[in-house]
Amino acid sequence: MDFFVWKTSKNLQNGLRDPLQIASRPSETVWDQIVATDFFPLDVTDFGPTIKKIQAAKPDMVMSALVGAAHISFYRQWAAAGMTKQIPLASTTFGNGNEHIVTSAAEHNGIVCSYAYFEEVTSPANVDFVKKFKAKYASSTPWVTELAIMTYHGVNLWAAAVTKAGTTDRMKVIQALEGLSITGPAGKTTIDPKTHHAVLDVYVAEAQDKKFKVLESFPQQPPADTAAVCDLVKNPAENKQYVIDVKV
Amino acid sequence: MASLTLISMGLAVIFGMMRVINLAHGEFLMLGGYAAIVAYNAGMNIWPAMLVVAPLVVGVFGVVMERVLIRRLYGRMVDTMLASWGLSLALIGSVTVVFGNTVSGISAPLGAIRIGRYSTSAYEVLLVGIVGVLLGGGYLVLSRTRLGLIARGTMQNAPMAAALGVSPPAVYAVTFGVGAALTGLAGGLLAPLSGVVPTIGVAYIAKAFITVISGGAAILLGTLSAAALLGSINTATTFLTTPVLGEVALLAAAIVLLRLLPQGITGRFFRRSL
Repeated sequence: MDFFVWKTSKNLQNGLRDPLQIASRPSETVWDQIVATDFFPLDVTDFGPTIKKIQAAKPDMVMSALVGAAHISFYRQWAAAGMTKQIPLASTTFGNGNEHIVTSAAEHNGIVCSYAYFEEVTSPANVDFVKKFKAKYASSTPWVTELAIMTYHGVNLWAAAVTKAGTTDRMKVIQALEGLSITGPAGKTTIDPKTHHAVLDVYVAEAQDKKFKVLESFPQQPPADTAAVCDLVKNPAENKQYVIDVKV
Repeated sequence: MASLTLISMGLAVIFGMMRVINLAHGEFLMLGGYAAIVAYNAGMNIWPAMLVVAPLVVGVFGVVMERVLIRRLYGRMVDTMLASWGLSLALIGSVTVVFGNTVSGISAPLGAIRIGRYSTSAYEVLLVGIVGVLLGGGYLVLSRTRLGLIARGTMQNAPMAAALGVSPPAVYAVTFGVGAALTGLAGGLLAPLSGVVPTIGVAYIAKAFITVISGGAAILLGTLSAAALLGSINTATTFLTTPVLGEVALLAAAIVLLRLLPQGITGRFFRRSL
């Protein structure tokens, strides 16, 4: 199988690991070839030539990491060109900007996404949280995104670390954070001492009629990509930025 | 290419004929898009929403702006730029207050057309047809009707037209309104393809100006030839290399073109055309 990769020229938001890693780890499929990767300036609204290019290459799957207002037009033009039934589309950004609220069901049904949280997760903690959240911010919350919930977990982790350390001193809080866990609407989140990344539950879901249908869940996924190259326990002074080779 | 022509036609009328640098052109497009979407969401059929409501709303808005703002600044190019830039910022701000800074849109009507393994949206093909009709209609109005004659005469020599009994302020207001209406129509027609946000105009305005200036004096043929040339260069480069280089190629081509033909394409070729 092979697939196209779409990325934008904007950096991925904090907290999101590389989209390819997220998408490829939970699935059983082994991708053996990336046909092409394209980057788009954020004000591009015409995806016609790109869609023709995909039609010419006939990949088994297209992976989108498009973000921002202008790029939503890709999903519209993809559907308008009749591509939704022909090449499956996966994304690690679709939905986090409420793309599935502003596009129509015909345009987004079937797009597969992977996040550490979906509003539709049925754990009692989440059902309760979403109910309270919507009661408080009903009119301005069409959908609770992963970005919102991971921020909520992040702040709670910091608060737990401050309580544990008994101070807001930066180094002491960081030390308290190592190995610390909290449980929130997205389940248990632990800060991995080796990488300072988080151990999270990860879900794969499909866009369905302005909602997401959770297809599979992968509890407590370690940040394996970064852990393969970075060990802060062994080298506490490490400050190199690793670029993970996604083709492996 | 069709979309380049579409976004540039209103500007060709306002800038090409009246020499008014309307920096709020992109926001006129944005207003057209919102007019179509609001009408559609209010239960109107998508076609009249795009083809009637969008140009009507923006056309009326254009006439009002011409009467209130622009007419006081004819012949003062820098002041017009400042005023229309201010108008552009004010429009972005007020639309954001009303509609929020998120994307609104409608799905493209009609289905897809398949040609071999390629398929394209039937709507985009229809847009090419609409652009053809607009250009043809524009040509007929400008060349065959009394209205077109009066408009062209006034643009060429306003005092002379006035001496012959034409009222230049009225002609200016109508011309600006027609330009605004064309822009609104373009905004409405592009809404299903690109969606609309308050800041969408920024993505279009530079390309619209580049197309009109590269086209030169003949507003119809100039816009069409410049859009055809620049659009093909952009599409072909994007297809063969990357979208980033596609944008670069469009801008580079425009620079080379203006260096070689400072008066635009129709400053050298097809000089007697419209």
